[in-house]
Amino acid sequence: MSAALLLFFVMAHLWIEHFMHLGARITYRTVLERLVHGFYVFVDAGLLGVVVFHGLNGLRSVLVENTNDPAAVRAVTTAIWVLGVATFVFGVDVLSPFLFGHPWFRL
Amino acid sequence: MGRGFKVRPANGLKRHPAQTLATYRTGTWAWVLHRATGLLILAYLYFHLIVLSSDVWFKGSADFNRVVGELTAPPFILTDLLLFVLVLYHALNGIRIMLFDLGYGIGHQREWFWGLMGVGALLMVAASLALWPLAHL
Repeated sequence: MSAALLLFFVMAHLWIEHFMHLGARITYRTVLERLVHGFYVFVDAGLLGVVVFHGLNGLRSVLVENTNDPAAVRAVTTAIWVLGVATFVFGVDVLSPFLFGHPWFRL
Repeated sequence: MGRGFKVRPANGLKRHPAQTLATYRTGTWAWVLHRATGLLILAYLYFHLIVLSSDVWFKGSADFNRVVGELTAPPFILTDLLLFVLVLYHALNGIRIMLFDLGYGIGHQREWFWGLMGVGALLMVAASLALWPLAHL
């Protein structure tokens, strides 16, 4: 399911970012202007969410495939969920200056 | 997610890794490469977010433009193409796995693999022709 969604978002992302305006320079302003449109925000945020879920779920599969200990599986699953939520928030924070005019978490 | 195809001798003795590798065929290599490309793409995701965040958070729009401009240099375009190879392989082999999950083509998994790799090679040539002229030589 996440793989099928990922195919859609990756193709949309590649087309919008790299091929729709092939040769045009990517600047802070062009990204800002693009992210005024809700569809582009949906593609970027959707790609972020799905790629984080799909990638970390794959990593979880690799980590737990050789263990039969339910406690170890639970611990890995919990750690992966925490890492996933943190990564999603981090990714939205990268987008935040374009979406809200300022970063969420400026250090 | 499926487990690896591991062959052990009938007498229970462990094989030498080279002997195990010698038993690998197209399907097993496809599975190994699927995992390897998946982990590399996941590592790239974090690298990508860290590079973007350091520009966007700390340096402002002028440096963002300068850094993004520098990313069109030939070494970075080559890196983009390498990333495209990883994504293309993982996506096309993923389509093959989804077809098997839906009950299609599992009896011809090897033909599906090489057919999709052929499609991937054509897409790779098209992407290279499109991206390489963008490199600032």
